[in-house]
Amino acid sequence: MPEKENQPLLTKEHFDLKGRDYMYRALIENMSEGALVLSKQHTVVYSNKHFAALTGFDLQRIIGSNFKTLLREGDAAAFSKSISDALNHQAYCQLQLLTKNKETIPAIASISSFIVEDKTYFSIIISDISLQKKIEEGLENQVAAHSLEIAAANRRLSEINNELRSANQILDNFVHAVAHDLRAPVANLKMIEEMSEKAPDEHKIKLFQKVRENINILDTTLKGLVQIIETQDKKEINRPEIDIIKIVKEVLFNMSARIKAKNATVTIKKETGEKINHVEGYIRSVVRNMVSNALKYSMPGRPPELKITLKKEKEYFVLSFSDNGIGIDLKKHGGNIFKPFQRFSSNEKGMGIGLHISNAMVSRNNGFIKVKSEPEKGTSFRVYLKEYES
Amino acid sequence: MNERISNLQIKKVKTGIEGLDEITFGGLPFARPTLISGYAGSGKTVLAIQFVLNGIQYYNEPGVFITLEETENDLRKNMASFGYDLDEMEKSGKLAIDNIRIDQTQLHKSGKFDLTPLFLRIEEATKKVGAKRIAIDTFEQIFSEIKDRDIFRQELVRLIHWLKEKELTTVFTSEKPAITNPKAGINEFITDCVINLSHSQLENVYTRRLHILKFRGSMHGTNEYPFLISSKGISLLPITSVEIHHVSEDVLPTGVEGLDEKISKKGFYVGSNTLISGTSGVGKTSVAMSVCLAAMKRNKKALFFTFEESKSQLMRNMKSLGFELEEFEKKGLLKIVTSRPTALGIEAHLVTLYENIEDFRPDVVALDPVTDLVEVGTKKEVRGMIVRIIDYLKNNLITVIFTALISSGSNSPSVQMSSMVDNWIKLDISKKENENQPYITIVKTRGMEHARNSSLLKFTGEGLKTEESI
Amino acid sequence: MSFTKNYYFKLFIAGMNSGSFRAIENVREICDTYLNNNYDLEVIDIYQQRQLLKDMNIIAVPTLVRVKPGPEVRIIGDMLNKKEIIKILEIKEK
Repeated sequence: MPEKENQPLLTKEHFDLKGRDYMYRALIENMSEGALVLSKQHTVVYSNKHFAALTGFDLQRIIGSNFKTLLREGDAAAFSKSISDALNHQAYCQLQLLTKNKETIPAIASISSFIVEDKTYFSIIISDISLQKKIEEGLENQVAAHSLEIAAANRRLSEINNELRSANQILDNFVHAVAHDLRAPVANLKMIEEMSEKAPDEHKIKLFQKVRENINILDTTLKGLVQIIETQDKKEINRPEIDIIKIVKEVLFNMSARIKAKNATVTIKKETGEKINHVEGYIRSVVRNMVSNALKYSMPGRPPELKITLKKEKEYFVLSFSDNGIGIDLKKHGGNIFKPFQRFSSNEKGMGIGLHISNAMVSRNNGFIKVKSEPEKGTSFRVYLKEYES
Repeated sequence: MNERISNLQIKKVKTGIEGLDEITFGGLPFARPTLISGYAGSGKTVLAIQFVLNGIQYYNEPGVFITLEETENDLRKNMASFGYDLDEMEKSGKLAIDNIRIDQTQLHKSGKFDLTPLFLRIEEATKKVGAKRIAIDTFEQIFSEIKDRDIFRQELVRLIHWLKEKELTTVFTSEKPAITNPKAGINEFITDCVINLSHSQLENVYTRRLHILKFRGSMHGTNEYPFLISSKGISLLPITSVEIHHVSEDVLPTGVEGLDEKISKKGFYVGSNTLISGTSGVGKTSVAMSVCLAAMKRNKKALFFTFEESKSQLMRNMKSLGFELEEFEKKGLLKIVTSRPTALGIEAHLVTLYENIEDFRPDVVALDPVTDLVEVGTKKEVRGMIVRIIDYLKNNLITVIFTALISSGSNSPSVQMSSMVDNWIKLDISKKENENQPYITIVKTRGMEHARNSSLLKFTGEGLKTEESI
Repeated sequence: MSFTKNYYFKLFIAGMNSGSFRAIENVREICDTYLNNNYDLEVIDIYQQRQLLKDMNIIAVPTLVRVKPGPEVRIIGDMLNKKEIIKILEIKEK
């Protein structure tokens, strides 16, 4: 065996033609994150393909360059700090990477250091966090949206509170008014009862009439109560197709005695189709209320004239009631017309709940009532009815 | 042939090169590096590339040829002349050629480096075809570039280790013969087999020789074997084997009237070799031709090599003996080959002979006179050649006639052959006064008996005749 | 590549190992010290760019090729000896 010269000890690794790093290389090249190795002077001595793809720069440009040139300007200082930290422990740094198209990508760098042959190097894993950022933003937007919703909800809550308050108020008023309104006829009935004990027979007939009148009043009051309850009630209401004119005529017929007694003239004019999907009960109430008011608040000495017209205005059926009665001083009472238990004149005997109920019924389906009036001349109520969707 | 022996040895890879597989007892060492050293023009590139190409052509082993010297075009042309179609082999995905050019200009060194890029190219080529064989010609080129001995050796070791791992049988070529020059580029201890090719020139005649310097773990022929680069590439000529030759009981008469009667079998055994010695002009040629004629008359073919005369001269001379050679030539039974000894080297002569024999397939071969070859080789070489011829022809059961010149005053031919041949016939002129009569004596016959007395040799118009002297 | 810089280098390395790192760092240092940003440096990993290594006939790593200014100069080695390198590259010492 010929004498060998002094050879350095060659380990098995030396024989690997591809270099020792083949397996590790495969791992790092196939990662879905960017991987870099920096020298102590921050020169990129290695970069994997993913990092190059991320930034759009050529691999051969990246390797050999200073890492700072790949960052947005403002991030250099933060990065330097993180990398010095990395000498002692794993460090993280959020930064913006520059891309070839002059954009930036938000990223997190995870940095650690290692020593090879007495030299320090830094290994960096770069994760693109644009997606996370988007999600964050999305969440923030959602939170903002929710805040708005919450604010809206809060507002509705206060609205509801207000409604509740007003409802309570209404109830309060109602209770008072009912109590008040019931008192009169009840007191009358009481009086009549007392008188009837002492009264001679010929007076009893008159007394009986009085009784009937007072019972009617009680009855109406109670009906009104029911109607209010029905209106406030949120139960499903039937909305079949009904004939407005027919109802008007029926109401007039029922009230014919009073109409005759007052010597009133009622005219009906129809300028549109009379069929509507609505609540029959409501329309009946409203018509009775309007007619009743027209008869009640007529000018003394002037036979009441009531014109009832049915029109269509856009999506509304408009049933208008124009009379020649005493009128309402709208300047004085305008804001209160539809509030319950209001009296606009001194000489009426009704319960004052009619208009309120009418309004409530109509506005249940987004309808409304318009008033025009001139004291001593007359009043015109225009009832805007919105058809229910069948 | 020697499978029996090679089975006991390390695993080997056949080269497909004539004669080389024989002297290596099976070929080159498998998955190991072999170094072929030799100066420019020695034929090492041809040997290296033939190793790869034969692998593709004969043994279905794809291969890679890495050349750092020749350009690809030259390579293709050269190998095409040997009958190898490199383009075809590349197209079929069996051959990969990589021509690595080392830029001579402006390459500086500073510090440590390694040759990984080079190896990557090699690896890529081997992967491309799934190579089993690889030849790298020459690796030293790189060394001359990088000049750092330690790195060179380290990288070479690394490369060889990798080649072993990939089970690639490798041939490296190198300019300088390794063992004789330990300071040379590639240290021989990293290669398992070292073959040196040399060629010497003797007055315009080249002689090429192959010498196995080392073959670790294997028997191998230790001689320097002459070889030739023929139209088929390198061929080492058939060599002596230690086997028993085929023998025949058939006999070929001499055609010399009366001479056959002096031999117990009435002629020479087919496949035997006979030496006809004598001084100049004594009639050796005629006797040789007589034997040939006797064969031709029996419808056998004869190949007559003449180193002295021209063909026309020879034919004219033979006419006077009544030998109508043209007739037999026309019949395709005779072929006369003239070969000036000085025109070729020994090996060339041998190859020429060999090729003619392969071509013509004679039953009898005459070489007249074989001693003329001493002009182009040493006695030893001529002897060696004769041994090889004898071997080869015996194996093929071809009867040989050698004529040998004895210079006047001596008893034996200048080339010591008598012990080698089967039969020996001596021709000499009578020493008696006033007699210029040639005498013919059978000196030796192997395997049969003969009369020992000398007889007169008569040259008649009907051939040669012996006459018993009183 | 920008055409405004006076120097353009290609550094060929093989894979991620300390030899490659050293070469990159050393070349970088030389460029930063003497060339004052007036250079373009491309670092090419031969494992990633097989064809380029063939085209440019790279046989050893690390190899530093000075492409510009011409004519081309090649240095193989880890480039540790900076004085030697700048001499070969004909860079003026400041």
